[in-house]
Amino acid sequence: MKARCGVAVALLLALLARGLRAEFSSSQAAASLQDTAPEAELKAFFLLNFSRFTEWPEGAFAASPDEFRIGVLGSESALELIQRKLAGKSVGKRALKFVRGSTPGELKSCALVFVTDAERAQIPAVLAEFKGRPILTVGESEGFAESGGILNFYVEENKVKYEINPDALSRAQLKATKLIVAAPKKVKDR
Amino acid sequence: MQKLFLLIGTTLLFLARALAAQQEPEKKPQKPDQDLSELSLEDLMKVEITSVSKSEHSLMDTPAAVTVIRGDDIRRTGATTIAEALRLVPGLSVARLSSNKWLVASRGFSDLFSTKLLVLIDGRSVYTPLFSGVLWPALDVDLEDVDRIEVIRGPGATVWGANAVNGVINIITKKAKDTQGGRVTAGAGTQERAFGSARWGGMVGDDLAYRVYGKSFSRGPGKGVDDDWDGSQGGFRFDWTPRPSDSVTFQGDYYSVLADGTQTIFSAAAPFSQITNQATQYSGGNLLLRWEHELAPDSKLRTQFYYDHAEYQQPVIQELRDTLDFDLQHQLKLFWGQQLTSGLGYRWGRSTIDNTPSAAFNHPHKVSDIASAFIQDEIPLHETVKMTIGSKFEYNNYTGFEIEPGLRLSWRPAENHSVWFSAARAVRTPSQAEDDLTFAYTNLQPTTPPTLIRVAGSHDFESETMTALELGYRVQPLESVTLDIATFDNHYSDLRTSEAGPPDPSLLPAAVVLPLTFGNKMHGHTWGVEVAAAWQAMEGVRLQGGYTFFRMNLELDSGSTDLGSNTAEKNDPQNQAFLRGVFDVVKDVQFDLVGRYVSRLQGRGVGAYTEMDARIAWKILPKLEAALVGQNLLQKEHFESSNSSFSDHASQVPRGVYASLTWRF
Repeated sequence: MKARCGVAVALLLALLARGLRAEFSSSQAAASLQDTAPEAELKAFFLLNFSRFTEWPEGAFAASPDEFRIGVLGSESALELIQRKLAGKSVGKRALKFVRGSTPGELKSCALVFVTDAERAQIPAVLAEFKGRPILTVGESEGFAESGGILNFYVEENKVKYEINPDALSRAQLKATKLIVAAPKKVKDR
Repeated sequence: MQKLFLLIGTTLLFLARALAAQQEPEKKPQKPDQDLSELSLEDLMKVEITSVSKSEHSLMDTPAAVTVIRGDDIRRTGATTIAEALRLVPGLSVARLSSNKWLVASRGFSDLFSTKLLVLIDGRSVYTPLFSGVLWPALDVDLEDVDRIEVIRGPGATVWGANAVNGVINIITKKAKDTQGGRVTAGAGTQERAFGSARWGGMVGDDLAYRVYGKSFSRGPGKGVDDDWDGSQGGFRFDWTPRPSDSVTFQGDYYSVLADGTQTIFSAAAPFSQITNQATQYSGGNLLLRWEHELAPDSKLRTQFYYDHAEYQQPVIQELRDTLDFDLQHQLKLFWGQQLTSGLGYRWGRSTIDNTPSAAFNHPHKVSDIASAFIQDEIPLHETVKMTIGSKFEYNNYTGFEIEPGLRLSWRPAENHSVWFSAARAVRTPSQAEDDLTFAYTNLQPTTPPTLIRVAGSHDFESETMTALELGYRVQPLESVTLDIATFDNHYSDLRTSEAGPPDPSLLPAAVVLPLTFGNKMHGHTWGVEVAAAWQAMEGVRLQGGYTFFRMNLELDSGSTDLGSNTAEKNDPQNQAFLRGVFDVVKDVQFDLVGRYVSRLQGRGVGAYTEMDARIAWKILPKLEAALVGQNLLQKEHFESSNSSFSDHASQVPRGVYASLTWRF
């Protein structure tokens, strides 16, 4: 008897759901973005956005004016994934180019450097090496932005968010008002 | 049985393929990658993360057998209790005795009071020192707001101290800032007769987040025993971050639970035993305050204080317990990349017991305390090799000073491979019952005159000890595949026995009394292999599996007069496996299937079984979700345990179906 009641309730719910859904499908179409994506992929798309919303000082691209170099401090597979996701994209009229490094020294020619969590031990070295250079540093380790990195990913409610250290941004002679405004969290040097 | 399991496996795969095939033509016109790459920052931040989780990845480095169940996975399995959520952990065995009682054990010694497993909720121990064990009927959290459950199989004594012998289960709820806004869940079904929960979270200013919640449920009964389970619980949590270097958490819960069940009650006078059906009432509350402070960038201090009040009333025993616990932990980064963690702890407990004819304590008012300290250093020996070495030092009222050292090594030759090794000693300290209880029960085989067994605690009862060796390997051969293998070899000594004395004729002719006294005259050996694997088969399809192989050998010491404690070696399943499919192939629909197999429990006379749970959830609106869950679908009902050696009668687990609605606002 109880079992039957349960099934009936379930069926009712399902029916109700169908009805409601039909009614609201139009309002939902507006928010027709993909609901889920792997974390690493999402971060790749963030990197593209970061690049597009940041202004570099004059002369930052003097060495290779047609390239926008994204550096990845991390594994081969981390680089590959970003490369795959952002293949064919450009920032302004500059085409994306990807460079992998196992030390920060190898990435000094990049406009943006992503320090993967696997390489968090190198964070102090990265920040020392890039000090004063117009390089947008992006991390994914707790405390990255507080210790002088510019942007840092974190996960909240199963979504990728980022925090920004505006002082670090201006020290690197970069401007990114939109990134500051959109950041859910602003942090200061510690 | 194996065939059935295989069948589930193929069905899962087939389903995945079929669903994916169906989806493909629809998806092609709007290639998801391109969609995402053109999303604005704001929209990107709304996309939920799928895939091999970061936690699985960050576990690569951990030199221990650890499983993390994320809150989302708990919800997606349709589990409504903590015990059921633990079925997805290789190395654990979870058996339902009745609708409100479980036998949960890690690496063997499964019992209603599995003495060697420590359970914590947000840092608060819920292991009762009365019996050494966890009162699962009284244990609840709002599962919707659980962040994760971390399960460490094997000894955790170096950090967590006594009783973290075979495992530690850490239930961690979300921070208040991650549970902002409102949520209401309501549901009903056959076994989950009716349930509801509500939560509201908000901010006071910029740096104080809070939430309050309440929940209520009515479950059961199982087949064969009138074992309904009804309860309510409510609580709150505040997280205050006045400065980046300080965070303060203040939280509390209150619960009241009524758990029915059939018990055989024994007494020292005729008729010696009778079967009753009486509810056990559990109620209690707790308050916890934690302050995390950064003294310097390389130095963190955590101070935690909690008060816990718990009472329960059942026919055999009634107890009121107050616990105060203070815990201090300091983390310091040192030269050569060392990470030094040290801690101090003090716990005070007061227990007030109402003696009954079947169970009596010589000291029904008992105050006990435990003082402890630990130190642990993580030392990078080489770029790829890390060593962790440490020990806990503990003082308790029963056995005095205990030392629990451990050594762990991890070697990560490449980003996607790691090998770890651990050696440790752990102890299980005596419970109040083992020290002080006198408990009467009649012989299970009726004799004339009846043989009345009287079990007595002893002040000479010592700690049970274990030395453990573990070896594990983790590999991520592809971006989409993780494999985690752990093996262990544990040696136990001074295990609990019940030593028989000469029969006592004082009650003749009504009964013969056989006196038993708790002793430590058994040693044992367990070994096993635990495998966990996850595979992101394609976008929106994740498969997860686990296998556990376990063996145990117990032997009485020479000179023991125990009548069969060593038969407990056959109480655990020798083989267990599960296979789970997580499907997100249709937009706004989540589909989950879990199949599990547990081999027979020879010592309990329980046969092997295979069962399956399924859940389908539909996001009707962005803020409204409906779910339909089927539990134990393969059989009308099945046994997972037999009557407990004390007095609880086992019921069969029936098939169950429930539906729920969740609304967020």
